[in-house]
Amino acid sequence: MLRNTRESWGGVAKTLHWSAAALVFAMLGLGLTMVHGDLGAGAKFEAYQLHKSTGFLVLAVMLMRGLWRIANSPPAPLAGTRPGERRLALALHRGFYVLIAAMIGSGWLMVSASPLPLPAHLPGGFVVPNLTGPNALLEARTKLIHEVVSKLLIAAIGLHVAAALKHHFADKDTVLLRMLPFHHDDRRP
Amino acid sequence: MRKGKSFRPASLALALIAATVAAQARPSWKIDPSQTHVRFWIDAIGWPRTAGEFKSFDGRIDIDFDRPSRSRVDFEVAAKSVDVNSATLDDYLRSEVFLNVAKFPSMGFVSTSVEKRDEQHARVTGDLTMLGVTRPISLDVEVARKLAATNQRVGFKATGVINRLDFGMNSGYPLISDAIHLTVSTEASAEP
Repeated sequence: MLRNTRESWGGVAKTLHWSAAALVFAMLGLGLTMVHGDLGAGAKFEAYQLHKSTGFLVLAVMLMRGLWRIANSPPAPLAGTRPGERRLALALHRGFYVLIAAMIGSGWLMVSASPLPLPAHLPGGFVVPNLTGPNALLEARTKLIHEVVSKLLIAAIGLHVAAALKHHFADKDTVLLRMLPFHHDDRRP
Repeated sequence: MRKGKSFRPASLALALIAATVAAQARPSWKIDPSQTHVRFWIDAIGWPRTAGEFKSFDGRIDIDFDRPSRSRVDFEVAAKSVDVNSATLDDYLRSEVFLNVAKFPSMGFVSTSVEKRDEQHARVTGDLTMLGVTRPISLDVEVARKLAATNQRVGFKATGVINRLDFGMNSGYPLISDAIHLTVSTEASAEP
């Protein structure tokens, strides 16, 4: 049950999906809080460092997801799905990869280009190398990209959740169920 | 010859005794570490004010109320004892980006002149050494004498602003202000 079947997602894909979901959700919450929240200097600094380190955890999970997606075909679309709906779903799913990659890339560049050198620290004492030297203009631009893409990502998550709920409650199909943990749907369409 | 030789050490001893007596005429002052705080704050654009203190310090104070200009003070602060209420930020401040404590473990202030303004105020000028660079700075000092029957205590609150660029601490400027605001409060007691 670790691998995907024609009908449902396997354990590996589900674990990666929900890990990424939890991480992205936490990162958006942390990001908004650390930028707009009323924090003291120390707490704000710690929130930024946690956000930077966790960003690289998101990168690791997304790389694993991408590799697993290549290695293990996703389940077939449900019978009866309209072609337009299929294309829309595919575009949104690919859009997630693009948006999250843009978040990671702009975040990493922003940290690298910052005039104040402060690279991300990972567990085990590993320090993430900078992609570029200090560059205030690049930092300002990547910061703007990071902010705009975060809003697009929130919108995409809204669409994704709305679509999953629509499939479950309006269409009454198994699109949501087959991604839920511990759900084994062996019914043939 | 013998008399002459023995005379010199004797006069030296007399001079030493005289000096000691003169020094004892003024009380010697002890800084109370529990009442001493070396605090600072610095502002930055888009960032809350960073305020903290140095927990480890050593200071000597010599007060002459009759002739205030003869008073003097020197303070030494352990750079690594910086505390801004965040272990992560403390470590960052200790790094070579700011305090560079591995290379410059201590910061110090030695007064060069004390000017009495009124009964409660003085202006203390002296040399501040930070990151191995020594520059003159001036501090406004509030003096509060607390006279008691058994001992007398004096509270001091010294405030001043230093320009960190003068000491070669350029990181983050101009987003992080060049002005570091200092407040050193201490209490010293006289030992009669």
